[in-house]
Parts: sequence; C-alpha cells; structure tokens
Amino acid sequence: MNVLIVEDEKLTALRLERLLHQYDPTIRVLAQIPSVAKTIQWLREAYNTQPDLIFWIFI
Amino acid sequence: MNPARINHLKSLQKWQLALSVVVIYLPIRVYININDFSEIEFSQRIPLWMMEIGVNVVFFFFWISILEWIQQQLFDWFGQGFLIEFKIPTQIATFIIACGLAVLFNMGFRNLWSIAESTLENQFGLTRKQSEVSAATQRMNRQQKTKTNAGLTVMAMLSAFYLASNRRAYRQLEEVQLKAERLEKENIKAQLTALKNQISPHFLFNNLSILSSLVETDPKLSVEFINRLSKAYRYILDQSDNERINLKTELEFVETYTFLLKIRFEDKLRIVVDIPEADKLRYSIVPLTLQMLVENAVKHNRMSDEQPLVVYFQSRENYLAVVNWVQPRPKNESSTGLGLQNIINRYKLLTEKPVLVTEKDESFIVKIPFLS
Repeated sequence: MNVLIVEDEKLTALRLERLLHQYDPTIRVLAQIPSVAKTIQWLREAYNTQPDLIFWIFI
Repeated sequence: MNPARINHLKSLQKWQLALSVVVIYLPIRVYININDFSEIEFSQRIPLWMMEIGVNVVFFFFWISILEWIQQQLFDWFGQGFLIEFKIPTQIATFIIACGLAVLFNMGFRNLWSIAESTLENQFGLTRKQSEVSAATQRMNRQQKTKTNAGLTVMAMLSAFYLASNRRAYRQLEEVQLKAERLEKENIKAQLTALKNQISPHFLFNNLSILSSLVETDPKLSVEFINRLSKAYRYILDQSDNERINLKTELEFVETYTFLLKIRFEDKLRIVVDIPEADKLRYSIVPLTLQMLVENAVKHNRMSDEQPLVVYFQSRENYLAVVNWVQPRPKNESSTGLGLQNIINRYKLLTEKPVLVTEKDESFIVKIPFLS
C-alpha cells in the first residue's frame, strides 16, 4: 500500500512512518510533505505515484 | 452585598449610641433646668432623673432608628454613595425633622415630668421648696428653659445623627477595605492556579510526544532535550509563586523553552532577542510572560521553511515589545484568549501601566510594561 504523510513537524512524521512499518513493513511511504500547498503540488505531478491513503494530521 | 442598601447599625449599636449621647446631653440639661441648687432635695429627685434617663435613651434610640429609615429612603431614591448623609439637602432635612421632634419631645416630656412630680408629691410627700422669686420672673424663666431645652435637644439629636453616620461610614469603609484585600489575594491565587494549569498539561504532553520520536532517531539530542525540559520545569515551578522576575532570568528560560520548540519546529521558528544587556539586568517582568507569548505566537500562526515564524523581543522606553508577523493558521484553533488575558490581568495588579496589544499592518505587538 502506498501512503502519503502530510505533517509539518518532521519528528512526528518520522514517528508515524515508524509506527506504520511496525504494523506492516510493506507499507510504502511515498513522501512526507510539510504543507497543504506542497501536497497539492505533489499530487499534481504526473510522475508521482498516486497514494492509496493520505495521513493528514491537521487541526 | 446589594450596593443600594445602607449598612444598618445593629440594635445593640443603636442602644450604645443613644446611651453615649444621653450621657453627655442629660447632665447639661439637668444643669440648665435647675435655677438654684440650694432649692433641690437631691435624694428626692433621683427617681425623676432615673425616669429622665430612661425616657431619653429610648427617645434617642427611636431617633436613630428614624434616621436609618430616612436614609434608606434616600438611598432608594438617589442610588448609592454611602456618604449621601453628608450632602446638604440631607442635612437640612435632618435638621428640620430634628427641630420638630425636639419640640414635640420636650412638650411631651414636660407633661410627663409634671405628672411624675405631682404623683411623687401626693403619694410620697415630696416637697417643693417655695421659690421666693415673683410669678412673672418664674414664667419668664420657664419660657427661657423651654427654648433652651428645645435647642439642646436639637443639638443632641444632630450629634446622634453624625455619630450614627460616622459609625456607619467607618464600618462600610472597613468592609470595603477588607473586601478589596480579599479580592486581590484571591485574584492572584486564581491566576497563578490558572497559569500553572495552563502551562503544565499541554507543555508536558507535547514534549513527551516529541521525546518519544527523538529518542529513537537521536539519543544524544534526546539527553540534551531531557535536560532542558527538566530545566524548564524547574523554572516554572520555582517562579509560579513569584510576582516578578529579572528580565535576564526570564530570557534565559525563553531560550530553554525555544530550544524545546525548535526540536519540534526546526528552522520554522525563530526567536530574536534585541535587548541591551543593561536593560536585561535593570528591569523585571512577571515570570512566564514571555514564554506565554511565544506559545501564543506558535499556536496562532502558520510556519514553514519558506515562511518561518519570527518572534522579536525588543526593549523600548519602559516596556518590552514582543512582535511577530501575523500569518494566521488557515483554520485557527478556537482560542480562549486566556493566555493573553491572564497576562493583562496579572499586570493590572502589579502596575498602573497597561499591557498593550495591537494588531496592525499584519504585525502583532504586545507591549509589556517593565516593573522597575
């Protein structure tokens, strides 16, 4: 499964990735992106693999 | 306490007041009413004087009660202001009422006196020595006495009025003072409690969550992080009972606090301190003020590598300015505004100078007055 992590705090993003891998090592984190704007940009790039799931931790 | 109600004297206090007026008033009255002391059989007069004391004390008690009632009416008409009894219309009204009552009282009392006197004469053989002065002089004397008695009674009544007012005002003042002191103490206590509660849970939770990430990626930095965290907590605990702290010490704490934040936000957050060393030593502020302002800035503003959040500390004349560019979060957390209000309230208790909060030209400025 391909996932995308949108999180502006690097440590939190890393932690989430680690937790995901603990649960299932085959999960592939496509990218960790720190902002909404960059996420939209990233998704528009044709050469990026589209994620199955986006982790978006926002208030 | 309802402010529109006057502070009523207790019944015991009214009796005391009445007695203290009578103690002065009565001897003078007796003295004036006796023309010739050689005429008087003192032992026979004692029952009459006892009666006089009793009647007078009751009368003055009654008068003070009337005054209270009148003053309550005035309060209801004119609203509060507990010194209303010292206003001229009140005084004039009191004077007129006192005059009327004094005349009535003296007429009544004269009758009572002669009844009592003749009763004593008839039943116990009290003798009145015959005066040698003529009937005309006697009548003139009596008229003079009536006037003097009325005047004296009015004086006594007015002094009762002022004594009662005085006592009431004094009591009210005491109450106000007591309340103010209590209020202030409670304010400080409540605010400190609020402050402690505010800082502790979030601060701890956030930092522990960061630590749990950090500990696996960078053990060395984790140790440093734990040290700083404990230092920050030490400061918070030490200072929460203090009213003021040296600016330098608070800034050192801000540095520690910033270190913790920067582990989390990296270069997205910058703190710039632009304060001369001399000012740092000279001035004091309320502890944890700066930390709270940084926390606020972080909470309310967006930050990214491209657009970092920069918080400036600058010392100006008599105050410290905390400035940041406003870049609001797209969906702002519902803010209670508690942190800033807390700072404003605490400064209010400590200094006349206000905490000023301005937001203009996309900059957010909080001006913290220095406590000298």
